[in-house]
Amino acid sequence: MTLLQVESVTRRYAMPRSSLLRAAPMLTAVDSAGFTLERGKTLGIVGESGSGKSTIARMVMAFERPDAGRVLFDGQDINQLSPAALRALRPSFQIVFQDPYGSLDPRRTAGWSIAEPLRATGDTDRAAARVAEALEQVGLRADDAAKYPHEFSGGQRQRIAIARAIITRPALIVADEAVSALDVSVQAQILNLLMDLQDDLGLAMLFISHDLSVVAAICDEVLVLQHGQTVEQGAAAQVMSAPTHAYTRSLLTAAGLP
Amino acid sequence: MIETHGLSVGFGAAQALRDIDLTIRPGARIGVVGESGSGKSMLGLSLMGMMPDAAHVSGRLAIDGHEMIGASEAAWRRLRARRVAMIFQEPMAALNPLKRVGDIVAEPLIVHENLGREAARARALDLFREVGLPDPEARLRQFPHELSGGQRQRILIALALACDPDLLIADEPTTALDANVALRVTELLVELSQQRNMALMFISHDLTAVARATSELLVLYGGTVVEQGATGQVLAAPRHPYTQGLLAARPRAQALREGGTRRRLPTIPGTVPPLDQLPAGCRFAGRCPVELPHCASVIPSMLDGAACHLLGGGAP
Repeated sequence: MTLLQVESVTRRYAMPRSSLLRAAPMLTAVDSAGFTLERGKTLGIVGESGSGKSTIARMVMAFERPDAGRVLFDGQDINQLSPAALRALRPSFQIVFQDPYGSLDPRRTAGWSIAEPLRATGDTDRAAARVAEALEQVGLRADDAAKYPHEFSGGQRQRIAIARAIITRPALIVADEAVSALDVSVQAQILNLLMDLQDDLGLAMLFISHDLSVVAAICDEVLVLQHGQTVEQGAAAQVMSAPTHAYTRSLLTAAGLP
Repeated sequence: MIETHGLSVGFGAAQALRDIDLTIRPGARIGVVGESGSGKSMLGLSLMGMMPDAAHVSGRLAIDGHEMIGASEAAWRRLRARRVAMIFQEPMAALNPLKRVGDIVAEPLIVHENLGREAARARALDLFREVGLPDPEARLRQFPHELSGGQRQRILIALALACDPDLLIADEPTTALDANVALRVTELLVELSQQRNMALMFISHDLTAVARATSELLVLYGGTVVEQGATGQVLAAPRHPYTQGLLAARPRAQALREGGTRRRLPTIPGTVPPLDQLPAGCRFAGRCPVELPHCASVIPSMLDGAACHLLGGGAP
């Protein structure tokens, strides 16, 4: 069943003006990209910096509006919803960022940060119990809620960021370079955790990464972006074993994949 | 030539490096891999004489036969840039944003080599060509923010090469770069090492990059060398349980997708303990899947490239 449908979205940004007398040049960050994501499945978006992958993430999260095209979540165009209706829908899609140190408030406890999405939606019933449950789901202990971010390792901080994402029981997680800053062995632990949570909770995941080997390990389907354009799209196994576009092949070579 | 023997760096009760024996010959390309906190950056800084003031350093460190442990800052300054140079992960942070990159690269030539301004600029231009910067004349007058990440890293490499060092230490030189750019920077470092007969120490947690860049490999864990040998051999047939665990944890498309279903990645249980809580014996004790009773208390010795009790290293 389709959970997320992105229909040929385009997003342009104004660049700094080079002259006062001319209009600011426009940069097309994403050009007519589209995909569908089924419930419980994982779609990988791969590309280099500037390819538009994080712009797609921000449009899916409704942090930004596309200049053209639609983002449908569970059949609803999220850019047509009233602010109240969008706020009511937000618990269903959550995001995990690359740098857990930057996305956690250093002066607040882990438990405070994990409960933040609950406070944002006013759904604070049994908040402490739900924080404890989320911590255990990501492999931490319930009493870790009282600790501060600096008391955790990088991998544990990313687990906290994941606990914050799953506490609203979302149907979709957007993971924007969520394992890119981690060491190999910690990265493997977090990838396993994400796969376990998907299987246990039926989460769909939009997995954004510049690292094809990670995408190959976790994704069902892959979309390869270059300068905002989709150059290749298909089943992960297919794209990895028989890439049709030269750019995909160069990414595979660079990642050390045969 | 640079040699260390029993090189140790401590901070109070915490030991950041323990008994490092290392020989760097001219033209050698040595990879240093390990996770955060393994001591790999501390090793690079030690060879530059840039340990923090609080560090307690012991053992031997000889650069061209000069013993450098306890050497004065003035003695280190004579060696830096000419004997040993270093490049870092984040090139933007290492470049003065208010200076033109041509002047940045000319500066060490004026300071260390007593060149005049014009001669130093001409040398900077030669260096820009050598590191493969496109349109090098125009680059001289540009500021760091006008360049891409890969170009900035090339500027840093040109800066490090300015005084013709015997050893270039590259600390995570490709980590902040896109995969394609990282590949080209890695290839450049290998070419420069070969053309100049300059030793290269390539510090990285990226095993793919290290495999491309180096011929020898050191695997660090908890401030000790747990395995060393020819890069290809260590990566193809790792002997130490830590190296085996690290290599197995890498995501590889083929191994993970059998019959279309995803498989869990093999992991190393637990996390790296803080430096002051490392076991007194083998640093990997407590996380090792094949641990023996005495591993946590007895330091294993290096035998055939691996420091492990199970492989016969220092069994009582």
